[in-house]
Amino acid sequence: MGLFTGRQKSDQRRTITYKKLNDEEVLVIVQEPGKEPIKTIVQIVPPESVVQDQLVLAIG
Amino acid sequence: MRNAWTAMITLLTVAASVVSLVLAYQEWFPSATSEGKLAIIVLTSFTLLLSFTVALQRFRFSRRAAYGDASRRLNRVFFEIVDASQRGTSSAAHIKAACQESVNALAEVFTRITGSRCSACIKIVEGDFGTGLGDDTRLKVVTLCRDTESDQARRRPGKNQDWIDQNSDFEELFAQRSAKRFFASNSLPWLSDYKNTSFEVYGMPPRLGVPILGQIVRDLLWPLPYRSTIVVPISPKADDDQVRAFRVGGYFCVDSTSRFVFSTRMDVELVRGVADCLHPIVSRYCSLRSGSYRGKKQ
Repeated sequence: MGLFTGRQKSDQRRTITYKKLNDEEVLVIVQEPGKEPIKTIVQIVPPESVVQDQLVLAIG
Repeated sequence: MRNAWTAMITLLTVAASVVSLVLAYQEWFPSATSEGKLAIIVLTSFTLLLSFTVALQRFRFSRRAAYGDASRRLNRVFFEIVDASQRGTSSAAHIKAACQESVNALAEVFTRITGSRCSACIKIVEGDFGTGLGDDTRLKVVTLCRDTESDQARRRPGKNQDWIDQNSDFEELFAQRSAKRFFASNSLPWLSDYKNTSFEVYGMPPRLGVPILGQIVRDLLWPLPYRSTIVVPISPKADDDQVRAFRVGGYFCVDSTSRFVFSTRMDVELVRGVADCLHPIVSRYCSLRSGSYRGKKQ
């Protein structure tokens, strides 16, 4: 059936950096020594609390 | 329930065959001629082999049959998702309802397939929106929706932050080069480097310096409500040559209280199928939430 066990690498030599691309997207770069960086574009949302605060201000 | 009965009947049949063979051996074998003894040995071997093959096949095919049953439940999910994505005017509430339907369905489907209680949820990524996100800013995941069965039980009283770099599941996905990224484990307590911010709520697992014993104790006293998990990014379809521009709109997570219940070949692909289908509406939900923030700010 192909049951598997997880693999976990040590992250001690791994660096993660975030770069804001625009209001909705962040570029995540994972860099490991001697390897090409791995890039992922992540769509982000504002925190729920911030949205609610803005709603209160707008109503107020 | 039907599966439990058929499993019990199969086990009883195998047990009865073994007992009959032992009794027959005791009764006939001592008085049989040498040819007769050889025939008894050969026939006994074949009968045992057949009994165990039947039991093994029943186990294998009952699980495969469960995937067939799941397709009917999944059809409804795909209909809801496609319906939500085709309506250009879908509200955040409508999208959330389609997402809720998909997590409920996947939790039900995996509970049935694995025979253990499974939970499913969709996570999205939250950032310090419009507040000067710099290179040193951390991202965290928040739950968009969770299956109704486990929602109450998993609701955490504390307001801990699920930072991506403090959760192995999500962090590991950023470090994979393949277009078909996933994090999966059938035995989380045995991952010594496993990080999870939920430990702040449920308590830290024990750490003993003794190699094997330490892992067994950690497994027995594991504080999290799940021991196996599959996490798949909610992404647009990407080929291997598009890995440089891998995009993530959120995560689809499935977990189980039991160990060794998921299959990489079947289960990861099943979750990926739903996650891929969800991408347009999850992405739209994120845009709606961001847009509503921008609108109010102006």
